[in-house]
Amino acid sequence: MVRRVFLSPLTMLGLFIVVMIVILAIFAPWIAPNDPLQVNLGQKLLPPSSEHLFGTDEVGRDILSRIIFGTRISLKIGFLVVIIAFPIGTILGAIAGYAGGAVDQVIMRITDIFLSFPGIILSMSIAAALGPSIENVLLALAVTWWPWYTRIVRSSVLSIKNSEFVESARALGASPIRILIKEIIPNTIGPASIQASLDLGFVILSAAGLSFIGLGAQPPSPEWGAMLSSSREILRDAWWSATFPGIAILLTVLGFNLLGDGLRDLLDPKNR
Amino acid sequence: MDALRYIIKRILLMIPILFGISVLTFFISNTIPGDPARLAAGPHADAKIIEELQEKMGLNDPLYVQYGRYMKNLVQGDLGTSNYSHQPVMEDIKQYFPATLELTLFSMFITILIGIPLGVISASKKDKLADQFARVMALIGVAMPAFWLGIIFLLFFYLQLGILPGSGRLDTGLAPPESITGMYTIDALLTGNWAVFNSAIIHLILPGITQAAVTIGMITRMTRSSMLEVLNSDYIRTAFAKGGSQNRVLYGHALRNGMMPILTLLGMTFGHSLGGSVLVESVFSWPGLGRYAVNAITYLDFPAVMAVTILIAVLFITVNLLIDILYQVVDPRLNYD
Amino acid sequence: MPSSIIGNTIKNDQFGGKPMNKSRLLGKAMSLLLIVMLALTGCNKYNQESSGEGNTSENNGTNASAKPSDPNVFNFATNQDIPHLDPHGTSANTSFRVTYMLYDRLVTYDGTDTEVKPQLAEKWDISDDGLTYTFYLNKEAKFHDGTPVTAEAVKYSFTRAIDVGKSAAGQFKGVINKDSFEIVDDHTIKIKLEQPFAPFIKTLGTVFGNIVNPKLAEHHGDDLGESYIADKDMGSGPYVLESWDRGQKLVLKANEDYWGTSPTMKTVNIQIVNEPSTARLMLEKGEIDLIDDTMLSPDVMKQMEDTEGIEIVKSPGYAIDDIAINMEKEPLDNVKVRQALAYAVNYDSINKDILLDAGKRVGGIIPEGMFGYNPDVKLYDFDLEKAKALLKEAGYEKGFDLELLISENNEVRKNIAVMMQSDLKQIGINLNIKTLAWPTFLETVTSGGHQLALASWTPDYPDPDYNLWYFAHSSSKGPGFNLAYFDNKNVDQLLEEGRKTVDENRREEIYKEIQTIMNDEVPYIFPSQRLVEVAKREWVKGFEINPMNTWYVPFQKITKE
Repeated sequence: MVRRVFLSPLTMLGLFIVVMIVILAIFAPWIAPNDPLQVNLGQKLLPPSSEHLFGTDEVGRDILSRIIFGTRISLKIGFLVVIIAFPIGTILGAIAGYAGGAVDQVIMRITDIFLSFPGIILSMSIAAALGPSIENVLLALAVTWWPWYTRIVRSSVLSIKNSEFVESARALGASPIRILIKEIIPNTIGPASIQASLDLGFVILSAAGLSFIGLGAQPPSPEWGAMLSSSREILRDAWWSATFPGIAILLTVLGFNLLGDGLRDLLDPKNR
Repeated sequence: MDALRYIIKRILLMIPILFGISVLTFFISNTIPGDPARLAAGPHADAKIIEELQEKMGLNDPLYVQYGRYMKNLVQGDLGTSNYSHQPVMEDIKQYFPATLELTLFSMFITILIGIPLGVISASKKDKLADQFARVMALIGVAMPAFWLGIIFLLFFYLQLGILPGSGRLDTGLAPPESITGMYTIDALLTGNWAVFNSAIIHLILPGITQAAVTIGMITRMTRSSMLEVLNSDYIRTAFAKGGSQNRVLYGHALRNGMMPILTLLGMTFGHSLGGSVLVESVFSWPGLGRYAVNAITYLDFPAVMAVTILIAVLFITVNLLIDILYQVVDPRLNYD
Repeated sequence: MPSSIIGNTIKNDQFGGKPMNKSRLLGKAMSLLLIVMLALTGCNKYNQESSGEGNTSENNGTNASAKPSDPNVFNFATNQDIPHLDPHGTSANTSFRVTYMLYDRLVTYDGTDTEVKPQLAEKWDISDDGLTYTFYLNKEAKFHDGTPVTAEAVKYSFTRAIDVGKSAAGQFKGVINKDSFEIVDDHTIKIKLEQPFAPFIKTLGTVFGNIVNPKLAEHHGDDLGESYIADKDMGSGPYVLESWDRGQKLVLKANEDYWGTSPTMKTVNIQIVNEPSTARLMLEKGEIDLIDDTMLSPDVMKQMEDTEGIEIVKSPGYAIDDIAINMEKEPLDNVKVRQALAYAVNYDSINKDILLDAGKRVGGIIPEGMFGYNPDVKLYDFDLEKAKALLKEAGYEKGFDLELLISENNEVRKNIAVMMQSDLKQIGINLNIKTLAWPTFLETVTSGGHQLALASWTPDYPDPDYNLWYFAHSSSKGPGFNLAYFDNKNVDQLLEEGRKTVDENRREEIYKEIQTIMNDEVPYIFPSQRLVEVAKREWVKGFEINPMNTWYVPFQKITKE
């Protein structure tokens, strides 16, 4: 199993990108050459040079430093959304699948409501109602994400509900809750967690999209989507201002996708 | 008989879902700080004018009364009047929805044209260079921020090469064709207006490809895995053993048998895209449902917010229902619940 | 039923497939797509707008040619959607721009002039007490359906505006009411004011003074015809509405039977281009002749200055950026704190580095160039030491947190905010910036939920009463746009006196005095009075910018050469 990881160069590349980004995020203050928030209007929109490797933005901040600090925001959103949505979705899915009947119906209808609710309307309403901030983008994304896990976990539960080990636990007189916690959830969490690792990239991308239309990060936060948004007008004259944040998003999401994709191949029981 | 019962049951199940969505939308949108009357009254209005407008717009009633009134009208087929455009919301939607539908159909067309062959090749060349290449391309497509890609396309195809237009659905000088479906390409075909048809297709290319970038990636991956499963089966081996030509076996037998999960994903994507992509629509000034929805929330146009949400949900659920039914038709072994 | 259709979006890969021979299908599909694209696009279509002097490759795809493709068609781009065309029910500039062309008014604003000119009214008399206005209508004037513009139409229009109770009603409230009108004959009408209101004639030239065909009454329904007129034209103006594809394009056609001077531009396309960057590319290509003044940031304007074929028109404007300081919130109720803030704003840098000289310092809310402007108020300089000292005197030397609200989609304001944040940090004030959508912004500031709010203000008519009454009278607190919640008995009295005074010299004194008081009390900080900058093709001639109605594009007298 371990050998496989080393065998797939693309998975390795994904892992490498993700590790690099995590390192950048953790050690941002030591790695970044400048203060990401330091306004210096005398140095606005400077092209890349040895002093500012990625150039400066519309108020003279160092773009490289902003991108390095931006990793913190993107990772925070990506992980927190999955950390919030995953347990909610998993537990509800397990309950729905195991209990069946009316409980299943109610949980699944609620899930359907959130699934078919247009995401942009939900996100915008939350941002408008609670005020625009990273935290509320996080909330909006978590609210739209959990139903996917519910669906996956429920179908996995349905497929193992009547398997021998569950039957035997039941025969031994274990309570339903015990069976759920001890038997069902551990055996169904696999596919959902693979999905979760793939989702990290999507969450980061979605958050950047929301910031791009002005819903998320507030100035002077170095969020990549917001950086793209404020530089798109001058893209033609100051190519560096939008190019580097765009590449940062692309690479980060790609890194998580490559890694998630590789993990899926690896962990998929059918591949063993 | 079973099938019919199943369909009816599914349609009935839409009712509680739509009810839930309408309640959720209504109350969430009403928690947004902002007063539609204040907005309509303009910047010079004094408190009295605003009060009168609030009364006129029925904003002083408790929320549940307002909700009840809305639902009563909705059941009678009245979606209300937009606070923003002063038009019946239905009229607005008739203008914005066909644009989204047209773009979505076009991007689905591109997705199928590129994504499926790419997936088939990927599967047939598993772990070879072509497969790795297709995989990286697919994952890049999925990872590409649509708004960024759109702007890059604009700079390259519009500004630099000058072969594709940068904004809107038609060249400025052209009048839209007589509205039959509201989709310019189809209406132009129906009325035989070639100049408009050409212009409409050209305007679809950049937004279509931008929107398709993500779905191509997803479909490629799905086609690959679905094909691999089928290619492993005995009868495909038999087909090859019998000396069937490569393409015939791949596309004639294997793809057809592996089609179901691909169709499922296509349908899902289609259902989602019908809500309109704000990002793509903004970059290419495409007057679609996504922009309409954003505008509706921004300007506290609650009747429009409600209508768009319900419309998108109905479309999403219906598309999924159709896929489920298709599943049953293709694979009758699946039982009805 | 199959429940997990939605969940299993990405199926698991299978390994062990049999290697296959080479397939050319992908290549085929790609080349098919390419052929379709090329066949449809033809050759470089979007590069040769006009005489085509092979300018494309050299100039990065831009069109530097000096000749427009069609001198009779004008292409205007804006990123602001047009909500509807009811002249009495909207405060959207994009609607103003259109209705100002579809409709005429008793009097109108034109060119760079901020005084009204006769339009439907040939002349008018004002009674000595300033209460009764008599208007004599031009007998030639006709609505688009051929019916004459009569005194009845004037009465109908204002009555409807008041009944609709939206934007227009706000402007006329307390000045006229439904009983103010007396029809003398078909072409003469008397309007009696509720109380003397010196700037009345100026209000009639605004978009809210548009005269509507009284036939609208036949379509009143239960909403005074609001939904009927939303996408129709019932005016007498130089243009008629040709077509409107919502969210895309609105087309105006010259009114060939116009009773006044025949409009020069035969067709006007008002295009909605959401992305400012796209609009700019379209201008460079010559697909667009002129871009909405609010759309492009100073940075982009600067970059375009050198582009061949494009001209940036700069003209004095009456727009003033203001930071409202909510005086009801601690510690902003302390005048020393407010003065400290005024010293902590880097005015020169804002005007020079952010606005790139498209703005200059101003001491109050009356713009330079307007009647009543006070050039003698002391300007606060950027002086962080003084600011620190004032904070210390006020007992806040340790600093505090402040929140500044700005509204969405405005790069300049965002940059000003970010700069202030950086400067205020140095005197111990931690400034948080919050960006809100316009309606939420409006609701928050008019209900006093803000500490600081950065906005800008352009008068609808050029009278100091307009700016100062809204900004400084205690009755305007909140909804009336006194967003500082400034409450000063002395100022209130002066403002009330100014409204009743007919003598212009006395009025000028009054308004100058108010500006001096406000300068000491600092309810607002004024970073800049803006220049209006508009990007257009060089071939567009006869375009002028009105300092107030910056949205106004005189399509009826523009030419393309």
